[in-house]
Amino acid sequence: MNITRRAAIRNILIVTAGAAILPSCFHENSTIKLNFLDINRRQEDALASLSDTIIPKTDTPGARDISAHLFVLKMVDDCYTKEEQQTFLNGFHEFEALTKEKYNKAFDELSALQKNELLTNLEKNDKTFSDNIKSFYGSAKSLTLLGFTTSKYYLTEVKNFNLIPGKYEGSVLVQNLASPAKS
Amino acid sequence: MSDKIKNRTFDAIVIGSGMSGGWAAKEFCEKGFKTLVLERGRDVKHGVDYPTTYMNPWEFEHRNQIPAVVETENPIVSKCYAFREDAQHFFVKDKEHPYNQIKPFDWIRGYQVGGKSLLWARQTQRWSDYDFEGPARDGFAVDWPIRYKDIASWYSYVEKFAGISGNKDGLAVLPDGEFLPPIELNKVENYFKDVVSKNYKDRHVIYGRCAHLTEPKAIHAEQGRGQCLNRNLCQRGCPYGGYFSSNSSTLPWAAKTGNLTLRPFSVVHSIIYDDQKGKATGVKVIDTRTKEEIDYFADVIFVNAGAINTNLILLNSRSGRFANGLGNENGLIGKYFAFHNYRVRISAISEDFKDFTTKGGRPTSAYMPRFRNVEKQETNFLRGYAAGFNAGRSEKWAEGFGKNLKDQLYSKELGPWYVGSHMMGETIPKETNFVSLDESKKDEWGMPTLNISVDYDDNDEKMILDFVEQMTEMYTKAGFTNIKSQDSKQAPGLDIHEMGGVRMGNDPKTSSLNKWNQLHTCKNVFVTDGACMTSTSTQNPSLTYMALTARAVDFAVKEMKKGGLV
Repeated sequence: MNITRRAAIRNILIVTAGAAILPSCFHENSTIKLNFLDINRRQEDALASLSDTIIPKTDTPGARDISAHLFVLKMVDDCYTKEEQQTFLNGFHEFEALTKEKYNKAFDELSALQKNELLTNLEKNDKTFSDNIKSFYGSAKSLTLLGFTTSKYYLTEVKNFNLIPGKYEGSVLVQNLASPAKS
Repeated sequence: MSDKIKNRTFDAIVIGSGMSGGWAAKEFCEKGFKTLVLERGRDVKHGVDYPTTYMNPWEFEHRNQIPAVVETENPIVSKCYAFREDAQHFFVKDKEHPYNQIKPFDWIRGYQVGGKSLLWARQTQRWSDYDFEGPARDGFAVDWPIRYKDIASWYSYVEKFAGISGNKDGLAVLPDGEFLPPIELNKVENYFKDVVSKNYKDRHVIYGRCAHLTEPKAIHAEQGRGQCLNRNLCQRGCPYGGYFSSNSSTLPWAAKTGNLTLRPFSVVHSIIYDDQKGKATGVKVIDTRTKEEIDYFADVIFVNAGAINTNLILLNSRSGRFANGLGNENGLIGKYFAFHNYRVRISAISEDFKDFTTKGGRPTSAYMPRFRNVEKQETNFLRGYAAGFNAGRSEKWAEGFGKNLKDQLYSKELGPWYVGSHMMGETIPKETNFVSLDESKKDEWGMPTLNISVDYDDNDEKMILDFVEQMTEMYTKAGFTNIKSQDSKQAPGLDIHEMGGVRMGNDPKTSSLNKWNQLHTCKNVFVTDGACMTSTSTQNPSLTYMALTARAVDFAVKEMKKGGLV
């Protein structure tokens, strides 16, 4: 744990080197209780923005609206092994460093165009990204998707989920399924 | 707890409250026997103690995943498909109950009232004479002391009460039962069924037979059980009693008679044998909470602790006459242990039937009874395998990010049908596959721990190759594509069909139990759980345990009325 925390602090220092005054949110912890991960409010905002870029708000809710980013943190904190957590954190720090280096901004401060450009390249599995960054992005994306697609909102308002189906039907015409919800 | 012996004396004692123990309790109580059921775990009351049963997916903190800390501490049970956030409280955690793996063996346990009957996969098929005659015909283990005619009416008896869904298929290899309506197959499964029957006269794809109330009868209503509502969340405990479990069915039924005493938190140390009387007089129990030792007494004892623990109890029951364990003068108990070979799955894609899909959940799938070596030996391995077969569609995997990804999540576009089949192979019981006691390592209650030394053999490996070859051929004839087989290499045990060690047979020199599941050498002790199995065949075994149990209780009671079990 100490190693994780030290590594995290070291990385934050690298990222923020040269900044005269640290914004207060650097000192604020994340909004949910985490047992293992050391995540500050600043990082939480960046992750929220990343989740929301993956599943954006349109005229329907996006990832941030259902707090998918907090679900990502919860899952990494509880369901990832120590090694997986370390890879996630390393990737997260490198990702922050990258946006800083490339755009001189944190991810959540980027323009929509810049976010789009960065994720387009990440999706291409571009060789310029380190394995840690790719792994971090993969985790953030798959957990955002899991959180979103298992949320009460999605299952009840988009998918007509029913805990008690009552029966099994083996030959249903696809065209007779309920018409798709609007995204 | 009164220490008066009278208060600790019953007509019958049943060790274990799971699948077979529940049946023993019901049968004895119905016949007017004051019955003590001992359960090593806690009580689980039907409906009341199913804490997750009404939970929606989003109400699970980890969306049904097991936290890493729990997985790391419990590497064995974590391999079980049903050990998820919604049912983890019904499984034994590795570190609480250690055992010694002489060879890798994943022992999956449910220590609570109801045992694994809460967690079972609920598939129920009868054995036929092709199964009972297997060892004698093929020259392994010993001959079963019973044939289909001995158990057929008992299958009917337990099926009517438990409620078994299925279709009368008229197959000699898998006798029909007392069925409630079957659960339908889907478009692709029906198509595959047709392809198989057109191409092979001896192969059949049938509706899965399972212990679900598709159309409850009066006897089920009387148990307070209702229709299966296809939630497919059975492992959480079913609030409707839609599937059969001891908790929903046999135990409350036994309790209604007023003859049942259920004692949870009771590890059975041993069965007490009286050398003078020449029979067992009771059982020695350790209260798991106080560690207090208490003796209980009865005229007849049924051992239904679950196959491996039944072996443990008998081996640990030493007396002047039985220095190596009760009924173990021939040294056989613990040996010829067997399981089912569940290592392989084969999947594929069907590009057809794109206009169709399915709705709702289903607690079973299609089933292919054994077709290898049925009438005669015809392959380079002994015996054969049954196979589960299922098909379904899911929504297309969403790709990319942003509005494009979201559009995919909101569309209902389906991917192609996937098909999958898993092998359920018979394994050959061998002396070299055994469980034994390690006296040097005791558990928290002072019981010796178990050594488990069970492995696959060459016959299993050859059977795996044949399953893959034959299924590939059938899939190819059906026009399925992207055929992929996967050998999980899982250790024995994960099939959760452990069997044997206290096998039935005609000869007391080569078997432990007679044709009534009665210890050859201690006639008032019966074993009717998986430990009694002489061979394994391919069927899911629980239904056979239920039938053997009801039959054995009926025999025991009749004998006792005639003058006693001697």
